[in-house]
Amino acid sequence: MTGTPPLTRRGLLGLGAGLALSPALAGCLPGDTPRDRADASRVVIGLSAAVTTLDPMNTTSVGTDLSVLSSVHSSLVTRGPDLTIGPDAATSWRRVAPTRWRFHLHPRAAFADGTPLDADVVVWNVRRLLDAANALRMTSNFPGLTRAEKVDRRTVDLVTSRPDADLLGALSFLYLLEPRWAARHKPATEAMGSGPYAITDYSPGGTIELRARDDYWGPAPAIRRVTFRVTPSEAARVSGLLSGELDAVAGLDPQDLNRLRADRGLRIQRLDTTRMAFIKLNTLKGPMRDVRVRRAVNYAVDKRAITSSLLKNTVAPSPGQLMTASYSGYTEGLTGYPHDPDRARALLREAGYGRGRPLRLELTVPSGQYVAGELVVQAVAQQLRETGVSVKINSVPFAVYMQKYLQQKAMPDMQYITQAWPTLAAGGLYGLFVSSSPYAYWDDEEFTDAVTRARGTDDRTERDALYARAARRARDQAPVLFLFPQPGLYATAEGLTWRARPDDWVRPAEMSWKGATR
Amino acid sequence: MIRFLVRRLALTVLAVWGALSAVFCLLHSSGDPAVMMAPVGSPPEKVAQLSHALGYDRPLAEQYASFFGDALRGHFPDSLTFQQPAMDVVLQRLGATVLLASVALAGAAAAALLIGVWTGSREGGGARREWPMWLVFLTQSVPGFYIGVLLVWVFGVELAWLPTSGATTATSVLLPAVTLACGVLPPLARVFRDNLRGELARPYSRTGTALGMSRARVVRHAAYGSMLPTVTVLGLEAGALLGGTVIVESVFSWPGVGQLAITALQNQDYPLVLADLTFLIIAFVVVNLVVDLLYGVLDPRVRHQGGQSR
Repeated sequence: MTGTPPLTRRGLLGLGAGLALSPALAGCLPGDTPRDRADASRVVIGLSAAVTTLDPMNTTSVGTDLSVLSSVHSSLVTRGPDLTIGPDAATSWRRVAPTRWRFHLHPRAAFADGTPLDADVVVWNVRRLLDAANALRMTSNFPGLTRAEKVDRRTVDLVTSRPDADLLGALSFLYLLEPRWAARHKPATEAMGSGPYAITDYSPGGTIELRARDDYWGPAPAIRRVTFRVTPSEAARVSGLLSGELDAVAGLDPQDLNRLRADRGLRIQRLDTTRMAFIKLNTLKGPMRDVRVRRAVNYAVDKRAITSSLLKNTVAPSPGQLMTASYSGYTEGLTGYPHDPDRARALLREAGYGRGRPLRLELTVPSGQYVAGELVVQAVAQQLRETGVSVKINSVPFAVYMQKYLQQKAMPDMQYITQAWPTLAAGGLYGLFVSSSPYAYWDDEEFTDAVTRARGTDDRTERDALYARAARRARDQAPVLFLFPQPGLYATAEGLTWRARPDDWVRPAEMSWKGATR
Repeated sequence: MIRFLVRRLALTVLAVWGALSAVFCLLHSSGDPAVMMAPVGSPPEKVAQLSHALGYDRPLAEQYASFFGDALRGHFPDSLTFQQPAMDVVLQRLGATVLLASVALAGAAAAALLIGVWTGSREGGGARREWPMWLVFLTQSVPGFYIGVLLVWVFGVELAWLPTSGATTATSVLLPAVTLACGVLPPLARVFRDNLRGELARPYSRTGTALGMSRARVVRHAAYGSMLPTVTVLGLEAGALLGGTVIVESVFSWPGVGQLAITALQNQDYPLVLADLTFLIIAFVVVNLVVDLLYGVLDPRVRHQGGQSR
C-alpha cells in the first residue's frame, strides 16, 4: 500500500448516515428540551454537595441540607436576602426581660398533616435541641438558650442564661418538627413540615424533588416545583448551566466567570459571602511568635493582584478584618496592610532574618475545599519568596487538614482557611480567636478581654465599641495574613428572578420567573 | 468441576478479605472522623467525647475485629453523614450504577464485535477497512474524564441534544455510558480482531472455504473460536469498569455507588466508605468468578478437565 487511499463513496455514505441518524435518535427519546421554559413554575437548582440528612437539627450545612430543609419547614423567625431578621411562624416578638423573649405564633401556622404549630410544638423542639443525649449538631449554635415556656396556646417564651443578642439570628436556624410525627418517623430520612414545600422524592445523596403545598398557611411561593440536583463537580455545574439543564447555581468558581458571562442566556450575580479567607498564623510557636514577622508577611503579599487576576475582581481585599461587613458588630473604618515589600524586608531584618539566617515557613492548604484556595496559596508563596522568605506548600485532603487544625503542635506556621459564623454575630466569629479557643493559635489578653466583655454586655453602643477595640487589636497584632472575603458567584437562567445572598442560602421560595403568572 | 468451584470460591474470599484489610488500614491512617463531624468551634473535649461515643478511640486491632465480625454477619454500622445503615445507602444507589455499567458493557461488546468483524474478516483493505481501529486507538489514548468533558461540550452544550448531568430521563445514561465504554472498547476490539484473524488463518477455516462455505459462515465459525480470549478480557474489563464508574459518575453527576464513594471519602465517613468498597470489591471478584465459570460454558475442555489445565 502506498499513501492513504481516498475515502470511498460507501464510507462517506456510512459516515453521513451515522451523523444524520444521531439527532433523529436523540429526538425520538424523551428528554429535557434545553432552554424550553414551557413550565414557568418549575426550577432546577444545582447543589455542590449531596444532602446528607433531612433532620434540620442535625446539620449545619447552609448551602445544601438547610437550604432544602428551609423550604420544607418553618422557623420562628427567618433571615431575608437583605440579612435582616423577619417573621416566619412567629408574627411578632419582643424582649420581656433581659433573658426572656416572647414570641407570638401565626394563628394559622400548621404542619402539612393539619396539626397546628403551637406553643407546645416550640417547647418540644427546644427540648429536643438542648437534650445532650440527642447529640444534635445544631445545638452548638445556641450556647445561651436554656428552655422554652408556654404562655398560652399561641404564645411562647424563650429563656436564655445571659442576655443574648444573637438569639434571633440563631433562631432563624431552628426548624420546627411536629412532635407526634417525629416520634413515629425517622427525621433523618423523612420529612413532614410546616413550610411552603413538601418533599415528593428523596434518596440519600440523590436528587430531591419538592412541590409547593396548596394548603400552606403563609404566602404562596411563585415556583411550584423544585428539583435540587446534586452536581459535585464544578465542570458539571457549568455545563449544566450552559446547556440549560440547571436554572440556578450558587458558589461558582471565579475562574469560570468569563465562560458563563459569554452565554447570553445566563445572568451572573456576584457579591461578598459572609465567609472570610485568610492564612492563619501559628503565633504559639516558631517564627510567627514575633509580631514583626506576622506584619512582614502581611506587607509582603499583594492582595489586590490576587483578587484581580485569580479571582477576576469578584471581591476586594479585606481591610484587615477577620469578618465581612455582613456581621452584626462589624467595625467600619479599618484599613488593610498595603503591599510594601521593602517594609516587609525591613521588618524581617529587624526580627533577625536575612541572608545568613533565612526565614523558612510551611504553608498548608486543604485541597479542593475552598474556591481557588490552592491557586491563591501558590501566589502568596511566590510573593513571600520575592522578599527572601522560603515557603514550603503542603496540599492535604480536608479531613487530614482538620486533624492538624485541632492540634496546636501539629499546625504549621501558616494555614489557609476560610471562616464564617452562621448566625452572623461578631461574638461568634471572634470567639474562634479568643485565648481559650483551641482554634485561635493566638493568646492575646487585650483581644480576649474585649470580646468577652462585648459578649456579656447588653448595651449596643458599648458592645460595638468593644468589638471595635478587638478588631483594631487583631489588625495590629496580625494573628492572620489578611486576604479577602470568599467570592460568591451566582448564575441563574435569564428570566429567573432571584436575589443572590451573601450567606449561602438557596431558597426556591425567593425565586420567580419573570412574567410568569400563577 | 466441584473442586474447581471450591478452589475458586476460597480464593475469592481470600481476595475480598485482603482488599478490605488494605482499605481499612489506609482509611484509619487518615485520622479520626469525629474531627470532621464535630461542628466548627467545638472544644477538643467535645471531639474526644464524640470519638469515644463512635468507638474511634478504641485500639485499631479491636476496631478491625469488630468491623469484620459485623461484616460477616452482614451488619454495617450507620453512615456518619447519612445517619442510616451504610449498606442501605449503598444499595439505594446500586441500581443507577448497574444500569450505567451494563449499558456501557453491552455497548462496548457490540461495538467490539462489529469493529472486529469489519476490520478482521478480510486481509488488507487499508484505510477503508482500518478506520474504526484508528478510532479505537484514539479512545484508548485519551483519558476517560477528558472524553467525558468533550462529550458534554459537544452533545450537551453546543448541540444541546443530550442531558449532561444526573439520571433524570432515559437519555441521561447515553453520555456517561459512552464515556465508560470508551475505556473498555479498545482492548476488547483488539483482542477480538486479532483472534479472529488468527482463527481465519487456521486450517479449519481454509477447509471451510475450500468446501465452498460462504465467507459469512466461515467468519461466523471463526468468531466463535475467538470468543474465549474475548470473554476473558471482557471479564477483566468489567472489573475495571466498576473502578471507572467512580470517575465517570463524578463527571456526569450520576447518582451511583462510585460517586457515593467519593462523597464518603471526602466526609471521612468510614462506615460508608467501607460498605461501599466492600460492595465494589465483592462485585469485582464475583464478576471474575462468573467469567471463570463462563469458560466452562464456552469451552467444553475446561469442563471436562475439571479446570486442571490451568
